Amino acid sequence: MVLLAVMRISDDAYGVPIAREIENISGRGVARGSVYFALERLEAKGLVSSALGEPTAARGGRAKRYFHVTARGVREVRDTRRTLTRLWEGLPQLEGLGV
Amino acid sequence: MTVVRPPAVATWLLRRLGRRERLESLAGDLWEEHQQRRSSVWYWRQVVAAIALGACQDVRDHTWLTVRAVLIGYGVLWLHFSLLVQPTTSFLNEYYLSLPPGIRGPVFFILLAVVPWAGTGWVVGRLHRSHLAAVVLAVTVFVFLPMVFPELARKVANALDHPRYVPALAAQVWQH
Repeated sequence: MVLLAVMRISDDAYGVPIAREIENISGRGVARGSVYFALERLEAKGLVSSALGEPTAARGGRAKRYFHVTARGVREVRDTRRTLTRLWEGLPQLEGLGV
Repeated sequence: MTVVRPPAVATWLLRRLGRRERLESLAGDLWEEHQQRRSSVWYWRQVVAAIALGACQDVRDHTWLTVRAVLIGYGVLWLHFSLLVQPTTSFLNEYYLSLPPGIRGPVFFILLAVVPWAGTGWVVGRLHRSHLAAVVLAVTVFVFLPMVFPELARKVANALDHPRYVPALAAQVWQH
């Protein structure tokens, strides 16, 4: 979910918009710390990369950390989507036949 | 533009106990969102969640360091009971009986549980400053929880192994 949020935001993907994107789409609150821990794991796996921006007064003099999805991350999303699509196919419950 | 400062104590706690990696970026994000009319309650909740999540992550990432902290915790506790509590047992018994019945429980809970917990936490924390929250969490969960709430500790252990025990654990925590 975090990886997809980073992809959707694209150039301005740092903690605040990523968390808000997930909140808007899922309709649930998100702990900001959990977003960073997920991003840290994704970065360790080479699925995202990050770079520090400039410190700003609006953030108490702290810099933003911008995240970008790597080519490997895009491949991973594509593979996951393919797998999920295959799993969803042929499920009568999801087609409204068996409910 | 008027700067609305977030709660200073919460910020201090985050800097002191938060996981080092990405701490500045997370603190900046929380500051930025607090400026955008987020409440102090929201800020506190985010800080507590970040410290707890960071401690859990640290425990996972530094298993041997956690094991060492727990062993040191047991050692400090053993020293506390053998050098301080046992030699003064007769005095403690007399003291216990001289107290009004209503406050005996709380006073002894503080003397025999809270003081050793704070002391052990302090010693272990001093020895592992860069992972303070993680080691205090580990000592609390693995050393003190079984000592003070054995039934609760058994349910936590069950819930870790078998998720079907989670509702029973949640009910127990809710009662406490």
